[in-house]
Amino acid sequence: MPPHFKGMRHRVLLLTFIALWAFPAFSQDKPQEKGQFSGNFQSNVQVYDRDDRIGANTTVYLHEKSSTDAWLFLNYNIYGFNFSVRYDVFNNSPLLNPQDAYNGHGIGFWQISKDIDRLNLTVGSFYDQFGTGMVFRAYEDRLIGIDYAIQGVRARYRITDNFTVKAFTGNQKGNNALRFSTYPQVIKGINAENRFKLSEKVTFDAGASLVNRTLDKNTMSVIATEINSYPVEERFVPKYNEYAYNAYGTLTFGNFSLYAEYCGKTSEAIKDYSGKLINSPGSIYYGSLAYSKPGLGVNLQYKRIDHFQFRTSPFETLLNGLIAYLPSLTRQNTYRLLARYNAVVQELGETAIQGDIVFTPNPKTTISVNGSYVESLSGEKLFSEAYVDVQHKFNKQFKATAGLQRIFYNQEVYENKPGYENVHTWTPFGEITYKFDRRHSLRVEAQYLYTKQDLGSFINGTIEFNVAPHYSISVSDMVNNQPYRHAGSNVSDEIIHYYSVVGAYTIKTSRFTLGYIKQVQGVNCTGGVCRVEPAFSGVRFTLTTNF
Amino acid sequence: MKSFKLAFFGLAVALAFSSCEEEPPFIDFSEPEQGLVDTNYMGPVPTPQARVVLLEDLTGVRCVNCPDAQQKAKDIEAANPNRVVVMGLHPFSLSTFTFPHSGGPDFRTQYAEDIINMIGIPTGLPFGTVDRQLFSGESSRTLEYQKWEAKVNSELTVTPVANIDITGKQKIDDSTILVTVKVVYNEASTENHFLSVSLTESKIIGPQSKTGVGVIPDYEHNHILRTMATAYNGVKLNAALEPGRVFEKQFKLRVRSEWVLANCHIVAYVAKGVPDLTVLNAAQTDAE
Repeated sequence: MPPHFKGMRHRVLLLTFIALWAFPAFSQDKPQEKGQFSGNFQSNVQVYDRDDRIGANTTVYLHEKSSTDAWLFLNYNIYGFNFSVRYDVFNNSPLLNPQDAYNGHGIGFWQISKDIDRLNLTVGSFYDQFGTGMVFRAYEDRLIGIDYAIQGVRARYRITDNFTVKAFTGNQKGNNALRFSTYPQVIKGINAENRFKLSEKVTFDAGASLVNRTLDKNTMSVIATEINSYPVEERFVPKYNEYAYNAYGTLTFGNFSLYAEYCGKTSEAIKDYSGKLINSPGSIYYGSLAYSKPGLGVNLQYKRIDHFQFRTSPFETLLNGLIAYLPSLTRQNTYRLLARYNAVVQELGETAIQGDIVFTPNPKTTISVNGSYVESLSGEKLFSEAYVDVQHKFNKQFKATAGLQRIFYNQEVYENKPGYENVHTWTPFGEITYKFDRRHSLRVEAQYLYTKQDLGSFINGTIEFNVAPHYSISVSDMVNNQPYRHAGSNVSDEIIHYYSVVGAYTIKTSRFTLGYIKQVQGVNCTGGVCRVEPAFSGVRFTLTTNF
Repeated sequence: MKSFKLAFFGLAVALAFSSCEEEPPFIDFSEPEQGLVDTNYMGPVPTPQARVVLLEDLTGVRCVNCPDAQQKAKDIEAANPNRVVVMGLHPFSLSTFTFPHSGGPDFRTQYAEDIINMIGIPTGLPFGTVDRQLFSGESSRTLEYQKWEAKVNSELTVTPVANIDITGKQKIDDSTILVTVKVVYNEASTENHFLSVSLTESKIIGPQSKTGVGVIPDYEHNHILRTMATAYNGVKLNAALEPGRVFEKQFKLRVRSEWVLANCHIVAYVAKGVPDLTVLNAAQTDAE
């Protein structure tokens, strides 16, 4: 589309939205439902302070020097209609590709939705998922720069109170150059879910989905060209249409809950570990068993993934073009050093198990135990974690947490670093929170990550002082106290301090933060989805508000 | 109600699964011909050849303005001797323009159809590509014939990254010509490059529609793409593309008895892969 048409489309959309927003004010003679307007704004501004010692020297440190990301979301409801629009700004932004700087702004999301009795119709952009999302999930996670919104049309029909069918067709929003456009591959899908009440104490929630992706001619031409360049015995006929399907169910009986899901995928051209196209079907087996009663929660999970690479095209890599949502089946840690090593899911194949127990022997004490293990389909160990923490509330002023984590991490596989040793860590950690009075509190956390691999051992300490409800200031330092470096590492072989000072101010629904931050390079995860990011060094300002 | 629900969902799934049969892309499962030269090695870096431009004329026998475009191609060729190779593509698409006249020859080939699908089907005919280049300011590779001359002149000034020579042509039997092509790089490239070898035929007499005239029964058709010795998008040059890299490849061109070899040309060209597609250099020689 020529740029002037694109700009015109954006202007028309904005004017339409403003007109619809203003509509009630000019139509007072007709009885009508009162419209409801809401929205939010988020902005991140970063100023880059080059630090070659930690590897903070990507293009934004060398050339652009500062960047801004911002999102303004507006939503208006009236007469059963819902109008949404979001304006996105990326200026010199490394958010989409941490190694690069991206410039672009425009309407990143727009939607018109209408409820008609039991039917809901949506056109424009939408987020959605089928079941757990392993065959289809459209979602946004702006912290790691992903936006898998589908642009198209969706219908959802509640046939009975227990039976819902939904279907959609559209194109996934692109990344990088296609951020304000869509991938050319068409996606469509249908999903049905039903609840069966088998008895007073037993229910069964069942669902099934089918998702189809059609390759465009250009992509298929590239695929065919590449296949034709292979030796004859390795050539195959690729398919334009790929079908992924699943069936899942949750059986709940008393305190127990059993979940099982099978996902399948017809054969298509996907890239193997060496980057070569192969013709392969895919499958996922996933199950979990949960037990909960007051004071005790137990959850066991199992997942086996076999060549379940479901993307808009086989040439999309990393977090680009993902249609299937395959989160890691490991604990999602929040403390800085505990979250340093994460098991990025291996879509070409892995088997993972996880067990989680939360035990509350008395109202003041909670004990959490977690264990997980991931291996490749050939039996190579990829990741394991053993975790325990104890939280105790001594009195109204004082509570504390202490724990220990043990990690095994196959860095060669997860970060594609040939020759790197497996990482073994021991990480004891603790946190205390002391409330001086209703307004003033102090939180102190500390972790010590001991390892002889990767970059070596780290100590991290954070002191956070809160003055409710407006102010918060935190000072932290993560010290690479026992450095270890591989040959060719871009990190200086010395004791390095990754310190941060961050202040926050909250007023009503707005929050401002300003900080000077040094952050180690590594895998950054949110919601179980991860990416490798370079180090950060510089000033970061954030603003979030709701209205 | 239960049966209604099941029927509803079953119907939806059936609809979603319908049309599972699809026309696959072309994948070449033929075993490489034994005994053909297919080698690459390092040699001296050559002096770049004078650039040869590929002008693809997307045309049809029922296209009333196509004779004007063909005349333009002829003029450009005449103005640049041995520097422009014309290839007339008659696809199956746009059949309003390309379906043969009653009793007339059928120039349409699957190769032309595949190429036009790769470069983008134009809204009508005549259109053409100049080195399959997507020129600055253009929204498509296919250009109106009035633009061809300027674009060809622009392409002629470009130094080719590789020299192409058709070093051998040998008629093995009545239906086979053994063609030897040598490609020598004088610049490095990290892109994927593909070598295509095709056969065109000229001086074919047959009906052609023309604006203001109707059907000309004895129109002379030139540069018709008859067949290719490679896939429609060529064969990949599988080695590091660096100055001095030499590729020597032999191909068998299968010819039909009704084609007049004395009027045929062998065309070889090197192009980038999808999505760029740009033709980097070309060469042409008589088939006999």
